[in-house]
Amino acid sequence: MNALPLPQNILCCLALCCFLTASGQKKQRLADKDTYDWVYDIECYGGTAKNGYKLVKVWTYSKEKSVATTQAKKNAVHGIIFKGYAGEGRGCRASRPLMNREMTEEEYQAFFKDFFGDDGPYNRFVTYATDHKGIADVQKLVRNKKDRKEKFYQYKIGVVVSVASDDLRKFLEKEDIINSLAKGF
Amino acid sequence: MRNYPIVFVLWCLLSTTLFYGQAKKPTLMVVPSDAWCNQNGYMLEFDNQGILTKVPDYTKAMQENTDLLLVISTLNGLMAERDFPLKNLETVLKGLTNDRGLNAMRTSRDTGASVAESPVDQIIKTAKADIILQLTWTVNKLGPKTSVTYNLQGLDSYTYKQVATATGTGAPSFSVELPVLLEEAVQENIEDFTYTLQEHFDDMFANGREVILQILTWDDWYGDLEELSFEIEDWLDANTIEGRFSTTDVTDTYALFEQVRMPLFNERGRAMAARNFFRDLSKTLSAPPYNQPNKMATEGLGKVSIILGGK
Repeated sequence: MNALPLPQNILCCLALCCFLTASGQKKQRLADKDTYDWVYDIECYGGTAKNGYKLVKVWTYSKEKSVATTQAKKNAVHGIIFKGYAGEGRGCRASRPLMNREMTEEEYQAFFKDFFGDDGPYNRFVTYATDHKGIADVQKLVRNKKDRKEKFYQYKIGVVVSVASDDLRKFLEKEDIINSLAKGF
Repeated sequence: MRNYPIVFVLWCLLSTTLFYGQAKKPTLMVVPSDAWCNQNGYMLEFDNQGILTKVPDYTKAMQENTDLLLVISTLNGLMAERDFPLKNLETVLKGLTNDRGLNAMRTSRDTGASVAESPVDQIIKTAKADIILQLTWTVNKLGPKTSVTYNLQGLDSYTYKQVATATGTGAPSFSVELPVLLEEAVQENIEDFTYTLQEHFDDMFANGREVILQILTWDDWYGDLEELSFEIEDWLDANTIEGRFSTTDVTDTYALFEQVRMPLFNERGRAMAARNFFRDLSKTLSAPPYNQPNKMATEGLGKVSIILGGK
């Protein structure tokens, strides 16, 4: 087999790099869109977190394990702000979302686009709670095609993270995103 | 000349900020419930005209029960963190005792007169707040396991309504000490409590402060309160937010108006309490055509009594 001339090699490598980068960015964009559309699940993971913190398990959906794992941190913070979660009996109390006012689309975009950016401020309030990037469960989701064959669709990955909910609340109050208890007095 | 519109807009913005200040902030205080005091033996008993009456002995409870101190202190800390520091019951009680002693000793250098204190003043000078956080907990034992049932109620001192709440039973434990269980209970429930309290405040900002108006009469007053009550209703209808109030009782000598929704600010943008709001009613009743001299008595932010027949 004849090797490609050097400039062509470089061009191929560059094209491959561009393709991979674009593909990665696309997956990340899809994951961000899922977060924005609340396509994730959040549940309490025991009442053992220390005061001011919440220990949660976030289920993220993605075709790429690494994207799902990274996105879990964003989803956890998003969930604490907008979704809350139901408790599981006495050991795990329900949590209400921090957001306590109506928010317009413009207001959301103005603040949360940067907040949930890849190296955005959200990172300050969340950490993986266990080893291996917090992964606790990996489930392969399949779906039936027309020919009745099951085909891999995407991963559902459960990641345990700890969210500094008190600090997050104070930060959002300071930024005037949520109403503080004393607002107006 | 060209800059006038900009100056006008800036003036409008500045005046809005200056004139619309902050609403009157209600005071909050944690108080152990009568049920808790009774269960734990912190009650005073006295003979009230032949009827044995029990009242909670807060001073004794604060001096003897360290669990109570811990719960109050944790709650105070968590609320202070939310920019809503609470009045501390123990300090208020001590302050009242000190004031009583000082006032008894004070004399005027010129005339030797002592500080005037009416019987009503003596009754009023008790530990109080606009919203009382009534606290109850019970310790549950199931075999070797212990758990705590916790109940925190936010009670409006004037409307007597429960405006916030947090209740729950913690996870049973074999080995954890009671103070730790109590601390956990407070921390686990504070979120629910502040959420419901916030809803109350949001409602207040949207629909006005809910206050009580009581019309009383001196026993030498000879008027027709039933007829006058219609005029008072007209005033309330014109001055409350969306004309919201309920006439609860009207007799010849007494009228009670509840769920009166007063605005938080007057037309000049100054924050108002019930006494500022009803001052205009008091003046209206004193002036022609009603000519009803009256005395206005205030209880905190949310209750006013107008006594007809003189000052």
